[in-house]
Amino acid sequence: VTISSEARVQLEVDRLVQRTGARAGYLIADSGMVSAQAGDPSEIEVATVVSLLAAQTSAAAALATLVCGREFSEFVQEGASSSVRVTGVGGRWILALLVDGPTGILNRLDRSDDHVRGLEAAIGALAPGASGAGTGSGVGSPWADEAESRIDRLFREES
Amino acid sequence: MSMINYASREISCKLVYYGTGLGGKTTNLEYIHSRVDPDTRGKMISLATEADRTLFFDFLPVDLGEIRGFKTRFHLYTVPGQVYYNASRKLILKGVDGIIFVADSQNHRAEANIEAMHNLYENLEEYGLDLATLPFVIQYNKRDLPEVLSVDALRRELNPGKVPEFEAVAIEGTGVFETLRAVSKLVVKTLS
Repeated sequence: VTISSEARVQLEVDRLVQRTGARAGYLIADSGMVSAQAGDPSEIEVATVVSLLAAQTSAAAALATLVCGREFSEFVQEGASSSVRVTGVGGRWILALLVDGPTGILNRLDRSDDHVRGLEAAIGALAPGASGAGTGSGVGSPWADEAESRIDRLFREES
Repeated sequence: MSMINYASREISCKLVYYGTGLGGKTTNLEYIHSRVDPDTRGKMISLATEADRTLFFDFLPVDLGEIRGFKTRFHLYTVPGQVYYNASRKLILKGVDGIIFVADSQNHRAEANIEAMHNLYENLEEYGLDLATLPFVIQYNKRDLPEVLSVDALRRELNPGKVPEFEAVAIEGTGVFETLRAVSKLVVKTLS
């Protein structure tokens, strides 16, 4: 059985969430879009959290290069009831793992981990230039026609 | 670059409001946030200074709903307009699908508009992107103020490529949704 590159990325994210014991995990492109997610994201506004994580990681990566002369690898944000650990994977993606409690309770994860390598290999198999789990054209003009009419209805003053 | 996730059947597009400081980028987003159907939008995030100047970005996710089996979303961002925040502006442009250039129509902001437009070209070039091939619209904001340049004058300086352009008074909402509709439709066309 062969599976698509996108499905493989999803599978590897599922495995990483199970392997680390995270409540939820997100693979995020550097544009701030979610490529794959696994686990239970309840109680958080995914788009907002992900955009902030991507921005924070971009800034951290730029700082790491400018100030420390090395690549960004990881940062953690610890909260009273939940935390997040962010790891750079595959060059232009980040893996964010959410946990109920401190990040110390997550199982250790480093770049030599088989699952991280599996995820990086799956990302590498995505289309060249892809910024996520599938990009570019191909959804078709019926979709575009409907999207345009939805835009006309939504992007206007609420009466 | 728009993200089409065939596994989860989701499409996400990134729109960025660009332009000179105090030109009205955040005001555009605030107006959209206040007037779009609340069921379709997420929380608006503003990373700003105490004086309400954008420090990093503003962010507003808007959900178009499910279209032909794909959950479709637009993520709206602004950049900080002040000249010295260029590193932040560049980061926000990563993966952009469509750009709205918000020009300040006031006479004394003419140079600042031109500088911001050049800066946009330069930053996109670093990502290998070209405004000639990206969905791109221009909004001439603050048309209600005295001592504004004529639209012809603004067009000569900022819109030689004749991309879609809109007059606006963002603080009152005039032209805000027209601008957003136009760039959104251009992005949708690139996906069809």
